[in-house]
Amino acid sequence: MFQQAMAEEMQADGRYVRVAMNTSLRKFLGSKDVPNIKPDVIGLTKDGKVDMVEILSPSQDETKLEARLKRVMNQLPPEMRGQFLVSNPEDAFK
Amino acid sequence: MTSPQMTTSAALFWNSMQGERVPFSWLGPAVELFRAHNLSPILFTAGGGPFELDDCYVLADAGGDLVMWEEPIPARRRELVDALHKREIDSLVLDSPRAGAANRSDWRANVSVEATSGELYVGVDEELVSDPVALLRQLYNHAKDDFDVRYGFAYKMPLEDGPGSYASGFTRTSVSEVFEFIRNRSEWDARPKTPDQLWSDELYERRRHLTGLFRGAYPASILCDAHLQTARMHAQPVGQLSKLDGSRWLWELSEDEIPKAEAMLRAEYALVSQMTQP
Repeated sequence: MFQQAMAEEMQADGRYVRVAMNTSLRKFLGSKDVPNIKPDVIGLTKDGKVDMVEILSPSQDETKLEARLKRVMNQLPPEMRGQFLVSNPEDAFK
Repeated sequence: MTSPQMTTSAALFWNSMQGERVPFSWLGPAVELFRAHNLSPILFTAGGGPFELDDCYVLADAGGDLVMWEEPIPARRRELVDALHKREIDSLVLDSPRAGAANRSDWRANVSVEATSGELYVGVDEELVSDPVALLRQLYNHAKDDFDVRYGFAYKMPLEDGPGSYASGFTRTSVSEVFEFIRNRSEWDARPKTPDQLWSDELYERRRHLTGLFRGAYPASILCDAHLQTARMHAQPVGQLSKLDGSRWLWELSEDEIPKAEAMLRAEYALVSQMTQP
């Protein structure tokens, strides 16, 4: 539910040239030189930065997902490093 | 209104090498923390070998599968032991959920190792371990033979604030904040980094906390000689400094001393958050 809403929000925003859900980063960027992960939502901004969002499921460990996204982001060329966010749906109405 | 669940946490940071893995020898002391407090089940998530960081398993031999949060949680202790022996695991977290936990973040104890960035975290319900100094000492004693520990700190924090994420400098993001981020994408990039974000960057990039910089002043810290020199701690003692072994020190601060120590570190330009971003 949140995943689709976030992806739609990105698409509607106009600052992203491409948005994907459940797509590997390699496929999304068309490059084999990037880590092979599949974030819940990926967005490529007009200025070439990659944003990634993970939505926690109840059994996932928050810190490990954050660390993974941080590592992946650091493996991208500096000019492509955007933002990564890990969101807990339990906090939806905070 | 109930008061938040408080946790006692300790984090250590070591000089990890490229491609470093979680040593098998670490599993025993980690499990012991849970056994000492009769905490079960123990869940785990691992990265490397046959495991994915998206998944959750029970630390039990086959046949002990659980159903939690409407998901089957398979028992894969044997595979974990095998992968640790083969030095395939670079990331491991063990935790024990509270009865009726809504999700994985509602734990009673959590032990987490990130071998590639050189981080070790332990968090425990305050009712089980109330003294951060004792927890930091215990963690250091378990870790010192496996890891070249250079820095560490211990603290208390409500569980709902994500004490494990805090150790790594990650801040929790609510769903509404994600939408706010999308709507204000340009402004987000222009925002100055918070001290927590600067700490997170430091862990994954320059790592100057291993060579004398501090994240802040805490009830207890593990320091090496370089920290003492950076902050000129022998010349202006605040709190209690005691030698652990070799060139490692334990720095203890009372609640009243923490603001004074923080000011001293700032005056000596010893905080990661004061460094100019590259």
